[in-house]
Amino acid sequence: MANRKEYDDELREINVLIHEMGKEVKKSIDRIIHAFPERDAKLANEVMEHDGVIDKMETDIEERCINIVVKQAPLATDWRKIASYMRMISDLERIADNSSDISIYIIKLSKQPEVEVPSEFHQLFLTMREMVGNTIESFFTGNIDLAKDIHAQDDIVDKGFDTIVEKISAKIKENPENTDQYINYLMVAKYIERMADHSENIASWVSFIVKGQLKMQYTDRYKKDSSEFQFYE
Amino acid sequence: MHEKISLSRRVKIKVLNILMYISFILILALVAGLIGYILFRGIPNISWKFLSSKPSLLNGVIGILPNILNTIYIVLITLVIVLPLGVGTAVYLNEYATNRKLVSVIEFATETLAGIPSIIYGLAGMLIFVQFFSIGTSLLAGSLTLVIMTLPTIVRTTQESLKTVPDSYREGSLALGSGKWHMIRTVVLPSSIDGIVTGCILAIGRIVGESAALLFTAGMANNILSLKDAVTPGNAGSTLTVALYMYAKERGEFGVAFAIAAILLILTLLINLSAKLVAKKLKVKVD
Amino acid sequence: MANIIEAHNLNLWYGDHQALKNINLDIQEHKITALIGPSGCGKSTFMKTLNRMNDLVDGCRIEGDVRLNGVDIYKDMDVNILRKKVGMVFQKANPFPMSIYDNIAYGPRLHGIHGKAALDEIVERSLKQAAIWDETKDRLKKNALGMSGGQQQRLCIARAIAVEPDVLLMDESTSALDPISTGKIEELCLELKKKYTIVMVTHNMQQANRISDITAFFLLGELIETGATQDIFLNPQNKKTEEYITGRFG
Repeated sequence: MANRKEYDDELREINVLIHEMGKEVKKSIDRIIHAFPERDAKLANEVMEHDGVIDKMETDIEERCINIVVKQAPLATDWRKIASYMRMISDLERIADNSSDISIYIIKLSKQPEVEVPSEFHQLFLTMREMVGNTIESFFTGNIDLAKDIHAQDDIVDKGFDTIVEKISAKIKENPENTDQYINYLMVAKYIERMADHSENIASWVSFIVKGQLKMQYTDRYKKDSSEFQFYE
Repeated sequence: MHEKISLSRRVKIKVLNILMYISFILILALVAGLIGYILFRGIPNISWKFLSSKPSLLNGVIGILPNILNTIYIVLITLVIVLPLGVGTAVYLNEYATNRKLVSVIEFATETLAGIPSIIYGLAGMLIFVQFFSIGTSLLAGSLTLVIMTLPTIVRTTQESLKTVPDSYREGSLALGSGKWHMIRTVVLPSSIDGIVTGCILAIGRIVGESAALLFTAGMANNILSLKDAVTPGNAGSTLTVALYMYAKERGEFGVAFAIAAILLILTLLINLSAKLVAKKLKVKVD
Repeated sequence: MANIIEAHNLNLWYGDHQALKNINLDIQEHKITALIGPSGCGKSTFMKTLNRMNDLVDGCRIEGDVRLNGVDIYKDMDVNILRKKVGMVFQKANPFPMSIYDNIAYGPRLHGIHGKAALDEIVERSLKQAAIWDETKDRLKKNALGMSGGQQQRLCIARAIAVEPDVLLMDESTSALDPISTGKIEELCLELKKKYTIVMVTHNMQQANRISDITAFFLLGELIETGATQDIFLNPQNKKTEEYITGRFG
């Protein structure tokens, strides 16, 4: 059988790298949350430029995972981890992309006359950020209850999004001359909703690693003692 | 990597080489000389008449036909008895016996028997078969004595041969539902046949060359006997080896003795050669 | 699926050493069951109780029972009949030093089939089933020992199935072979399980994962876990199973 120590070292290394990637993604989110109310184009730009770094991280981690599959033929938990990592980093990268997308719209809005913004945005951003934070944490701690909460939070985000759509729809009818801005805000809301969805995806992979079941089943009580599983060793 | 060997070592190696060659030549000379001398003195005395007639004091004829026949009889009778006995014992020891202690006792006994001088067998044979069982001095008594003498050889060579049969063959056969004896009969024995035959041929060689034991048990008669006579108690007969002794020691016919010696030599050579050939041939077939 | 073999509270001792501890395991018909575990865990010992090859070991003692189609193989069955019904292929190929034909015909002849036509048919059928007919049909009278290792092993499989057993036991049968021969034999197993039931001992996780339907994990003489192969290798329930599969011990 393959060299176990090398194997474990590599798994640990990948863990660290995903941790780093998570941090970068959270940083991007923090930046757009800051940039959004002020329509800060400069900050938005930084987010876009930083996206390349995150893309590279994804590629690097993916390569390492593929290497492990080829060299070590992982089984059981090892396999579930590797399979999940590869899917998760894709979702993380999408979240980062979505941040960039939001940045594009912030920059657009910064060049347009200001309009009144639905208040729900603030809560939407915060909830989404909490979701991303929680899902990344549940990945490292194996805390499946956190993952369960994400499902509930996603519902909140979906509801918030629906409200924003209604309000913007009304505002467009009221002030059609600001339609451009309102459409941009709609797009931002949509991307926030997408980011929330990606977080939910990540949570389902965490569930796969811990419980070994491919479908999300948040209604089941997590049976095992989570202290048996330490992802960040 | 040529290290310089010291002079003293080189000298030692050279000396040892020379000694080796000397001993080699010595042995060669001895063997060649011995064989050569026997053939030289023996062959001129061999004629067809010599080989095919019975000796008659009346007619002044010296012939070794009876001796040749007796040798053949003794070989046949001994083999017929010792082969099943020896192979059977070896099969039992190797395949069936579970008591390790018993097996090692029997093996020790077998080895001991192999080392006993043949004249003691002759004495024992005489006491047991000739006198106690009242078979009288006869070819039968001689054969029975030789059975005891060659038994260790057969048992040992058969055992060695059986041991070379890999256990995987046995397992393979049993795993197909074979009973133990069937497995031995169809797989083990055929695989070890070359060793058994070799042992057999070597035993023949020993029988042909045996003299002291037969002197006491088979006697010195020179009548032409039939096979039926040979297995009947009371019919004595001398084999080639015994005849050699008789002609040399008791009748002073050294020419005849050397002739018999030459024949025995050639016979022994043929037997050893065939042992090698048969073993080779059977082994090739099996592989 | 029906159970063709059932082991119930099986305990086995070699002298004083207990090699199997209270094994309860069922073998399902027409499935491939893989037995895995570190060296000395009892998987080979367990398999050898299924055809009573353990009887050959001095001082081997059994408690509990093993049933083939409901019949107790130790108390109510003749061992030679058992071995006809439960065939075995060994770790290292062990063809007899005879012709290919005689190797295959050995089993049938042993069980009373002697007619040339019948034997010819059996030999051809077995070699075809073992996917080795084309390679041997023109050399049936040649000595089996002249074949390559992979061919010899397939020959041994053909030999075992010539007596039409119910179950085929394979004791690490591909561990001495190159990857291509191994692949051929694995393919063969998948085909054979339609007709027979296969139990295999293997150290090769990938192999067990690839071809078996059910996997049983042994450790120190105990049966730790058993279940559908995919479940065992993707999501084992027992921590020790997980540790063994991922190479953390053994």
